[in-house]
Amino acid sequence: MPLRYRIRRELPRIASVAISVAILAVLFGPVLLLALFSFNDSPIISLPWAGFTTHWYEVAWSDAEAREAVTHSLTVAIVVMVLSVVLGTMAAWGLTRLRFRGRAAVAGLHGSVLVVPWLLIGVAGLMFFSRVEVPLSLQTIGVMQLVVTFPLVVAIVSAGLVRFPRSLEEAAIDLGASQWQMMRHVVLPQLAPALAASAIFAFSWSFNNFEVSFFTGGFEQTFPVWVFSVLRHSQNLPMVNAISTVIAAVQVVLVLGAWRLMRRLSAGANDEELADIMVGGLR
Amino acid sequence: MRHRLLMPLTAALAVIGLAACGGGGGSGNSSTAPAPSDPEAPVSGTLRTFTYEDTIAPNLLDPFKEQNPELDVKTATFDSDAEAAAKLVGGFQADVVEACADEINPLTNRHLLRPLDTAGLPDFENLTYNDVPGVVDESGQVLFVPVSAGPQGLIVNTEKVANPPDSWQALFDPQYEGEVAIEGDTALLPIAETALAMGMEDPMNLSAEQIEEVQSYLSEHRSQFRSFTESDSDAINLLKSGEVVISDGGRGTALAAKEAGVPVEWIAPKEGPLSWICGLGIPAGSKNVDAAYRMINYYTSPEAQAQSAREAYVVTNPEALPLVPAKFEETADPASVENAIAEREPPNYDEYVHAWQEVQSG
Repeated sequence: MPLRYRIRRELPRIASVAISVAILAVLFGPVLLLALFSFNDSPIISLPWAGFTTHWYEVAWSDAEAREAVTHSLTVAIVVMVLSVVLGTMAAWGLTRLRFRGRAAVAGLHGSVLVVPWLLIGVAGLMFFSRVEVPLSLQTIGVMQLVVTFPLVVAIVSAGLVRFPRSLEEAAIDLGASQWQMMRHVVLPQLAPALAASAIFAFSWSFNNFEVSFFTGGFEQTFPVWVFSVLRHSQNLPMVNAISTVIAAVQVVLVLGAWRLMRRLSAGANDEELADIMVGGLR
Repeated sequence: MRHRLLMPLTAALAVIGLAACGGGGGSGNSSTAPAPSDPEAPVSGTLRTFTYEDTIAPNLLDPFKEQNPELDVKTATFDSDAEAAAKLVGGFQADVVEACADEINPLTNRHLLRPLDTAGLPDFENLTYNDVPGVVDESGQVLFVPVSAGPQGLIVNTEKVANPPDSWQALFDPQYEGEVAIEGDTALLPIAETALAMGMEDPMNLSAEQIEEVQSYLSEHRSQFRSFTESDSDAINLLKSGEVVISDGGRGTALAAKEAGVPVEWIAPKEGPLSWICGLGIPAGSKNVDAAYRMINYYTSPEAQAQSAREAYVVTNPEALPLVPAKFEETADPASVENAIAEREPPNYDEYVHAWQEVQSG
């Protein structure tokens, strides 16, 4: 085949690969650079390369405030994740399976939180807790993060429930299953990928949240708030780079783990279907 | 090495915080905070601080905690006084808050600070910068106690600039076109530095006409600048990579660059370096005023000031100088920047901001 025809035939594929690589470079290039420079033997994030070191990781590990902030974020994120998934699943079930007056309005109310800036939600939370004289703490951060995370879980799980054929639920009931047995043996296994996806998103949203945490936090800092305050000094940058690299790596591992888990739970699903389960609720 | 990381968030926080004033509990008591009746009496209870992160560094705060074992010190941090004001207006409660003269307006506009009684501040009369606008208001009331300061001058790569300059005009020397950096995260510094370079004498009090002249000058010389830096990290990175040979910045920034192997020198321009001044005040919602005075007095004590000097800050209590390590003697001494111009937010700051935005947008 003449070269020009081969080029013409291959051009769309080459172009799509090039565009994908460019987009990925823009998206992940800065993060990769951050990770790379966390091993640079210089307090300055700049070339030339000054040599390999794990010093910044040692500094980060020995920083009590950093450890405390990460512990706070982990604690809040785990609690928010569990509560969001439990409450969000219950809400999604009610919105997709029950018929009641004002259902559309309730569904809209859930969705509306997703489009309100977190900054406003944080300020509103601060004013609310101030009015009711509740001292700001990790608990108040958790409550307000639940407010912003719960609707996300509702969206993802609702999408899973809408896709799930109700005839299977009806068949289970017809065959003598109780409501609990139907839920336990029919619905939850089918819903597991969506639950896994919502758990991972809920954890990530909570852990990385700055705006809500800043306003509704008291005298215990979460990790993003701590990072924001220490970044005023350039000498803290390599340490923050090191911790951020570890956290980013852990989050990537978590997402990959969730992906593998979802693949196992939804036997036979291809990548496109899995992606649909994972982010379908956000569309 | 204090810098202002003015993210878009900060402005939004200020706007929302001020708009939220109707619902918050931030107003509190704005009368003068009474001095402790017995300054030596032990303090107890809880002391809640709301400061920049470096102010509560363990080397500074731990001795205070040891001196006051009955006091439970709780700390929270922010990145600018605009953020602090937004949170305080929303109802956040603290007993001590950090304030800076150039960022004081968000706090004073909402009456978030209680004036201080100098009878409870034995060191106050001896402190440097104890009478500059921002530290005291128009009626002479003390708003906060200056704890540290930092001059802003020129940072010059001595290997690439043969004859180190001594004027803000160096930022506009055509010889270094495209190799200069100027702080861009706040309007005050670039406008004030340019005004000084143009020969204007009071950069914190420019008229509308002067601001327009400065804007035109900056726009005409926009190609002079390689970057409008957002932080001292930016400036150091640009100096290290060689992209920039002259930058504005603080002495701490120059020191950090030197320690990273960049051959730089910090120079106080002859027109006068600028200087931020920060310290501690008592917010309207304070519930432990006695402990707040105790903490403020600790931070102006020679021992605490000597610790603060290790950040390359200028100390405000000259009695601390004998305790300052030799490496920081020069940077800590207020006399080394006697002609410094104290930064403060001008009444027409909006015009500064508008002019700087016009320059940035090209």
